[in-house]
Amino acid sequence: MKLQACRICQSYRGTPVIQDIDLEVDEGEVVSLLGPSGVGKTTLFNILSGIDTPDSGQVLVDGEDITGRAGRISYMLQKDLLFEYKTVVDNIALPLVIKGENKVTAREKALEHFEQFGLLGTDKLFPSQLSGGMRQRAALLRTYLFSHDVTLLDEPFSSLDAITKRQLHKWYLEIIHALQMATLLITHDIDEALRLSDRIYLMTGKPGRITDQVTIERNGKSGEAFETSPEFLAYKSRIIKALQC
Amino acid sequence: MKKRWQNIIKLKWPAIFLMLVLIGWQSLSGFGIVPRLVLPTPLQVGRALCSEFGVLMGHARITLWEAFLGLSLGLFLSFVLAIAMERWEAVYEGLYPILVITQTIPVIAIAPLLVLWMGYGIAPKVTLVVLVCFFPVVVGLLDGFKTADRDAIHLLHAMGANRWQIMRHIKMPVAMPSFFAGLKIAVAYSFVGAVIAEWLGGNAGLGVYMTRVKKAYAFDKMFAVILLIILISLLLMGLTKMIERRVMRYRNIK
Ligand SMILES: Nc1ncnc2c1ncn2[C@@H]1O[C@H](COP(=O)(O)OP(=O)(O)O)[C@@H](O)[C@H]1O
Ligand SMILES: [Mg+2]
Repeated sequence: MKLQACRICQSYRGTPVIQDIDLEVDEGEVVSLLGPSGVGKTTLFNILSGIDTPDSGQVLVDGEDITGRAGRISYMLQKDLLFEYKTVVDNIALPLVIKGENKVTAREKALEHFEQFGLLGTDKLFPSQLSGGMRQRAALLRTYLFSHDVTLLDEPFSSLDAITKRQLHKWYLEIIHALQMATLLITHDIDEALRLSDRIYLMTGKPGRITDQVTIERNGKSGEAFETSPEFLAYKSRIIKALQC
Repeated sequence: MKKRWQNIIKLKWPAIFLMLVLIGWQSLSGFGIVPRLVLPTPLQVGRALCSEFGVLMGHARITLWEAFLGLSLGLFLSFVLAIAMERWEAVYEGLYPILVITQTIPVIAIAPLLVLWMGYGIAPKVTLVVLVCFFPVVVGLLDGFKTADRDAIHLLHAMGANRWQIMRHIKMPVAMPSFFAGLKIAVAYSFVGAVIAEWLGGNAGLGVYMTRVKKAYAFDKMFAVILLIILISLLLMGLTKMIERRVMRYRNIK
């Protein structure tokens, strides 16, 4: 088991926000966390990434307790958060610089991935010169360079228009299988969760809890073939029902 | 290119206005309405500036050197203090009110005291420059640090960054616009501050030159040196603006 969360509880000023969260992400697995806004998804991610320490519970990576310890799990926050004052390559190389590499080798290492992430030729530009889709790919590459181990993505595609989103999904599926990253991603878009993930956790209630879990079997179908299949619709209606209660 | 033309067009009206003032002034003293001894004509001022140019440049070099030393020292101290105030809440709480209060002390009033303490050398001049350029820079930096995005700090924290890395990669860069706003004021103050300090005594510098020509009632030279001080101040501000553009290159792209 790559990432494991055990009975995590957190409250803000006495009000419990999330309660008894248990979840796991396996090696190379893509798991979605699906739930309405305000249910506590970002709160949970802040704990998993080590930015916040939970009131109780544990976070384990490869069985090692890392509760409240930042720097191990890579995390892409809800906004893309590219720094406008750094060039694209310096933005992407930042996690390596933070880890103590010198600027030149960090840049070289970052540049090695530019082609794969569709960013060739953008290294000396500033983020304000990139399109929405490119910004997101740059942020994803930065997140990847941060740690190849486990990646948390908080609504990585929610700011994009429908067409760019579809293109990015297709690209993302290819890359994530090539890189074999264990990924936990937040979304409130059911189609997105079904398209991208191997497994889906549903989070509902106040305080937020994990109330259901759906494993997606694609039976060899992928892309459009899966999205137009009866299985897809069956999963979708099951999730809609689960989120309503 | 288009922008450059717009800038030149924008300068057209001020230029015309300035010409009118100069012509008015020239006729005022030129036709003897005001005695030439008291108000020299612009042409006389120009002539004085040319004939005294070598001497003036020698003095200007001294004043610029004092301003440069004071500004450098002031900048260094400002950065140290601003970073310490940002790092330790107690330092901020303790020093900020005091800093603001010191700004109500007119610097010109303490200049004679500095001369008494430090003599007629370069020390009181540099100290005065440090005092005048310190405040705008510290406040510029502190206000700038406050504009750092909380989520950006979270992100770096998640990457395992320490406080200094957060300062280096987030707080310092986002503080640059407000720092340069403060620096522009500090640069203007530092030169004039050095001149004022020189009024109170010394062997060389534009301020010393001013007191000398004042004693001789040489109004044309007085106006010439004032003109030179204005020109040098403008030049220094322009230089600061150029550095600002260079440092914040990301702001000039379309
Ligand atoms: N820093 C905070 N201080 C107080 N309450 C917070 C804070 N962050 C989140 N909350 C509360 O926690 C709840 C969950 O927020 P969040 O985790 O951002 O939800 P989600 O990401 O699922 O939309 C919200 O209802 C919000 O009121
Ligand atoms: Mg959220």
